Amino acid sequence: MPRYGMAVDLDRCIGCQACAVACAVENQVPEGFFRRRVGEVTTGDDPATLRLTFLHLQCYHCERPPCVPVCPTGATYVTRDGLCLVNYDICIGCRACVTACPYGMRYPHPRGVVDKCSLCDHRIAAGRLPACVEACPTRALVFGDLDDPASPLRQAIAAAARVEVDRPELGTRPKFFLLNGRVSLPEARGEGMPAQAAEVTGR
Amino acid sequence: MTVVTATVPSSGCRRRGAAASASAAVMAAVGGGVAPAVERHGDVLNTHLDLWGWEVAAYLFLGGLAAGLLIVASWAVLAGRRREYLPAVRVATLLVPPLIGAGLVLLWLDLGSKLTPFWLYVTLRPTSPMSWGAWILLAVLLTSSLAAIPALLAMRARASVPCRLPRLHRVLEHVGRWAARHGRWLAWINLWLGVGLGLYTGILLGTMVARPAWNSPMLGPLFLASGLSGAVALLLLLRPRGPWAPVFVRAEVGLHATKLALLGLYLTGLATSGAAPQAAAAALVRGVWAPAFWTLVVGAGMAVPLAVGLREVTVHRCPRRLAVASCTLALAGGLALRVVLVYAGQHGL
Ligand code: SF4
Ligand code: SF4
Repeated sequence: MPRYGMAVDLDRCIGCQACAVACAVENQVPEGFFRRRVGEVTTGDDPATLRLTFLHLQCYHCERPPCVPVCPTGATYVTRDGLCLVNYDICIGCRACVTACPYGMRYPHPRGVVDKCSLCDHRIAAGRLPACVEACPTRALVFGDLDDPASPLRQAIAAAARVEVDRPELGTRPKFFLLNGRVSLPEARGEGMPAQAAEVTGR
Repeated sequence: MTVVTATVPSSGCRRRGAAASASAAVMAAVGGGVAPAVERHGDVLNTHLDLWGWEVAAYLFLGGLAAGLLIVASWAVLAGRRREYLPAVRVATLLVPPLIGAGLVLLWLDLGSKLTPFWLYVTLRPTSPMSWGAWILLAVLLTSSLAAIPALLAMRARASVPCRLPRLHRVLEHVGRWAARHGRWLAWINLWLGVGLGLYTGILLGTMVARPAWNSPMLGPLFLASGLSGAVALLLLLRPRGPWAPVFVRAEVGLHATKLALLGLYLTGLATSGAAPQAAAAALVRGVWAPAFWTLVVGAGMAVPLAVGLREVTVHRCPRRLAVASCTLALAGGLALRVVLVYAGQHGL
């Protein structure tokens, strides 16, 4: 069984939003909402410390996702491939999962259900890459199987100078990795938290 | 000092504007006057939506009130005071089923998908407080209705109107006799279901690890105590005179003191944890939520009724108007507690 995950090489990301557009088109995300987008962050206040970095906002497909146990109907579930998905047929739109996700990666769909990134499971099933990965002009986005040392994802993680995941102290074990960031995520968020060593799975 | 600014194209939600300004106010309040040019990660995500709004707050309030009434009524039966306290016990018993019904309607109103709520009742997921809450509500609706049937029939007998539905009446009489025969059993079940329901209203929020203002083991007991105190206040409003009144007034004093203590423990718990819970506590105590928190939740809901109650207990007399005002404030404070906590918990990561 594969264990799918994603990474972004922040050295390559230019913040062009091609991934966000491709995602919205592919998944017919309603206007005003998003499954994936890129936030632009400027830190520092003088030329010596000034930095531009990007926040990659999409579901991390956590290995211990807090959004799953709170779902009263079992609509939010984890597949054997490690994807965290929503079964729209039995989702009642109670939004317990939205309040439970520490990263704010879910949104209430106007249709009355809750929606979020599915890593394009329909494309994976057809042997294709997620739409965002395919659309990225600089190949900053990497998709692959964390259990396969030869996968592009594992290779990218192994080659990276710095690997980070979002808020590792929560124990959610995100399967989305930030590679070669110049600014740590807490710093980018403007939090006074010390940068925590990333807990890297499958490295 | 590092200045951080973040821009994100297209907002995640329509309601983001108001929420973002509220969170900016939280940041400013927490920062103690220094408002750094920081827009946090959370602000550009979906974390500041008022995802759970007034429906959930009102649902938690009505659920807590029903739990309190159920506990009081069952306690009176088990303590052998049913006959003595009959008028008060009867209103309490009769009020629970409609309150639970209203709670279920609010829960349904809150759902995004109004047509498929039955999925709640074809699954039982022990890890999801939302799931077992839905089941507890159904169980309480059933057992509290059973307990209410004898009271309902007694009221009907006194009304002396001709019976239009004799068949239904016969069935009700049958069930009512059964319920009256098993009154003690039913009271035990209702007592524990009431405690479960009261705790659940707090636990629903308390188990959300991602929300620092909610993630506290104190919310369950606090909401239970608040529901009980609201129930006693409501009974004192509706049935002010009788042998139960002095007992209830003393209970109120104890409950207000307990609520204040639990609230203190809750805030201390937040303030002695990590940076995020500390910010959540600061937002309540001296941030955007402070005015509502101190006046409505603490002042109106606990401190003022506590003072009035203490006076009544010591002087043994209380002008009716003051008593009514105090009970109304206690009830309003219970609602304010839920509203403030439901909203405060959703602002800030
Ligand atoms: S990022 Fe949020 S929605 Fe995605 S798996 Fe983790 S907790 Fe669930
Ligand atoms: S909104 Fe849907 S997926 Fe989320 S917890 Fe409720 S039923 Fe489950």
